[in-house]
Amino acid sequence: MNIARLAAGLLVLVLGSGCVPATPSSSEWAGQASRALDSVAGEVATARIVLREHREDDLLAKVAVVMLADSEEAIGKTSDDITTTQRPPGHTRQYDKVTAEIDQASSLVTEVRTAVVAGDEAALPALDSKLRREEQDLSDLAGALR
Amino acid sequence: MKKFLGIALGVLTAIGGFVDIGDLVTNAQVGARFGLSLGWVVLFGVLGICVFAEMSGRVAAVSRRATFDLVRERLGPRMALVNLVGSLGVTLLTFIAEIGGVALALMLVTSVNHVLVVPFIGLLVWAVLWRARFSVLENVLGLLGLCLVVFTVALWQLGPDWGSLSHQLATVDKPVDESWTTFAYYSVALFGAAMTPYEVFFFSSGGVEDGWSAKDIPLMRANVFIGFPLGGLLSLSIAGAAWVVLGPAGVMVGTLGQVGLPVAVALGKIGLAVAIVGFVAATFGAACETGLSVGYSIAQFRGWQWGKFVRPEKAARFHVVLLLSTLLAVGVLLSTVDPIMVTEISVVFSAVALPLTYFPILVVANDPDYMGQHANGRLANVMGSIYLVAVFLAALAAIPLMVITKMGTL
Repeated sequence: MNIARLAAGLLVLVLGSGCVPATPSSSEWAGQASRALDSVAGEVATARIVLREHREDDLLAKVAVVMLADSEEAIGKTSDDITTTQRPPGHTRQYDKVTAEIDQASSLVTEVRTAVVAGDEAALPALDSKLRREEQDLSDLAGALR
Repeated sequence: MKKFLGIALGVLTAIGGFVDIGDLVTNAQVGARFGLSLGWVVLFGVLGICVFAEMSGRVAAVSRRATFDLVRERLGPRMALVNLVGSLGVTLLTFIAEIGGVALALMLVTSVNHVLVVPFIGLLVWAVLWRARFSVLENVLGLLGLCLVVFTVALWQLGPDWGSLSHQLATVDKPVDESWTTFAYYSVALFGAAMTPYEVFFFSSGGVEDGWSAKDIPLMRANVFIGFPLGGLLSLSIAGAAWVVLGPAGVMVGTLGQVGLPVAVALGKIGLAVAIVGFVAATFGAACETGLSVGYSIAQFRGWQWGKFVRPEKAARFHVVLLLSTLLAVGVLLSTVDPIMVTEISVVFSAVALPLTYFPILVVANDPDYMGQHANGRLANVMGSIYLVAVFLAALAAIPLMVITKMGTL
């Protein structure tokens, strides 16, 4: 009887803990956020290299678009992961900063893909500079969180 | 002259056929993060696959029977079943990854979503397995796979610091921003990618399909000991090129496009086009090999008639397995699962299944009843035993490392 009660109690505890999003500790969250920023910085870097090669006519027609779309998708997944992680108390400002930076990166890669598809060659040099700056901002923020 | 051409063709197809989606993705991922610091794992893995491929090829040539056939007879149905379940699971996973890899390669040039292309690739793979002659499948796809040599040319063209790359290759060290657990995880993944179980099943069953006899052992050894190491060189070139182009930018490789990007940087459009042909050939060839390996392993375990050297109606159950496994692979990929993730999982689980695959081969290759004067010598046994210890350690460490490092993302 006691064993049955203990088992039932454990079951309730397990199910209960499964229903509540786990809150990572401050250091865990900071680690996760910095890894997410590194990953997004890597995708922005990919977009920058793709854009450079596209401008130098080194890529087959569809490859640049597919690779930029892949980068957008990867950033979107990373963004989902970090926004659905429960932030620890007292990290609201950092959380806002991280998610805003990732959103900015996502918009920028979308802008690059749009320009490449539209054949808007005049916009590409400026986008290249923006990508470089974004890459640096993401890396700096990731470094600050480590 | 004819003999020389035969050896050359065998070696070339062994080089082209060595690299598959697991090698492409894992080497590029590792190269971008670790440079050639894990190159020793590739070299160690290539030597390991040479040791066991030679053994299983010799078993096929001498006994004229394939691996599973003998494992069941020699070790009993229970041990053979364990062997079958472990190897089959990983081979199926690899089959799914290879078909997904073909779809991703085609997506790069067509921009059509890979999920839409998967059913057509599945149909094509099945048609090739059903209709194409074994030699055509082996030679055409193996030779086209040689297009991946473009990675070696690209690395040369990129003009890396060869001293630094050699130093990375010669020392067991890691970049400062990487942890030792991640280093260990990727070591196991690379080892699993180099020693994928299906390679020995396909090699030994292919030997039976090609009608090898004891006099073909030198040819088989030339394929293994020249072709596979040169295939390993391709793997190192992929890693090296990724390090030079993607490493400084902090890119973490997660798509096939990123694998090919260093070639575009070094050689432009034509180089990239050649690389994509190589991707398609390598993954399509490996899809056919893994698909056949699934059929081979089940048919040999059950004692059914098998192989492409017999007419399909005489090996009906073998062909039903090929059809069902192709349908299963297509079904899994239609669920929109990421083929790169399937690849990452398959190389880790490949490491888990290694002992189940290689231990029975060592036992059978030592049995004088089957092998006569061609049973393992001292060198083969010492090497086989060393590699058995290594594969046991890799198998034990694979899943814990996967969990601890969150599949290498830490």
